[in-house]
Amino acid sequence: MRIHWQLMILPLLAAADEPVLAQQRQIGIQIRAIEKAPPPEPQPGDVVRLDEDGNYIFEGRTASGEIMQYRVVTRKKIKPEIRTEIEPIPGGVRYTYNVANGSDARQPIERFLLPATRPESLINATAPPQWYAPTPCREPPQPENRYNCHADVDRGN
Amino acid sequence: MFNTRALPGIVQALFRGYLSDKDAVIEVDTWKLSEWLLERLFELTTIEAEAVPLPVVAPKYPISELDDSRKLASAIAAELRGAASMAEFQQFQSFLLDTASYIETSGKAAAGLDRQLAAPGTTPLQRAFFRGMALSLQHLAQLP
Repeated sequence: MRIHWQLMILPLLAAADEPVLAQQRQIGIQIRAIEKAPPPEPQPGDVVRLDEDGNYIFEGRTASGEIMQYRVVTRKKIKPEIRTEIEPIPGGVRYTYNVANGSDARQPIERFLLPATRPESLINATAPPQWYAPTPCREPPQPENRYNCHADVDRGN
Repeated sequence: MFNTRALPGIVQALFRGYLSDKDAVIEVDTWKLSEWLLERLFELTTIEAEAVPLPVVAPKYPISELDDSRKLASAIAAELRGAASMAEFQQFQSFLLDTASYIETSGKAAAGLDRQLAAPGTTPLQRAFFRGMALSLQHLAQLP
């Protein structure tokens, strides 16, 4: 059983027989443990495996006992190679990336994501024809949307 | 290509392959999947799980936050030690660790160290890393 700690901020009212305090709302902090639902267990017949082509195969049974099998094609059939050029420029640094895909790759590269410290400070981002370099977000990256704030180069297929 | 006011370090870049229209469709009636299979599906189709990671030299240390030489010297030393722990830099391990210790202890760049750092490296990552560290040392030399 997993215990999930939840921080609760509760307004506490002073007791009515304490007239001075009764007019003052005070904020108290209470920590209590609540139970979190246990992680789901696999049902009979539930399997996830890789096939010989590198795709995920999901197998399971429906409520009526019917066998189901689904294939999820992965996006990892690429052989990325990257060369980086770094040069000082007045007031900063210029980063230039040369991205290639290996001759034995089975998919084109669609997207290149680069985690960037202070993406809002990236300027003059350019990409080759047929590629798209989105303007980085202007807010500091948050854990839940950090990939929205990357220097993100998209082939735009 | 882009310009930024940040000095380089090694980060993990992510690359994703292109799916044809046919392959992009996941013909899964998710309501038919058990909760366990559904969780696996979500886990295996996140951006991180669906990408090929590759170490790359990228902007990592904002210049505005490295306003004194001690801070920058520590950042460079940490970067050199990080590289020393990577298999790709095994042949340079002692050089990287010795240089990291020197820079961190002295808080400065010895004359000519940037040229020494820029010299080695044969793979694209090694060359970019050493070039980047040399550039950081040149910046360090300008700080008070």
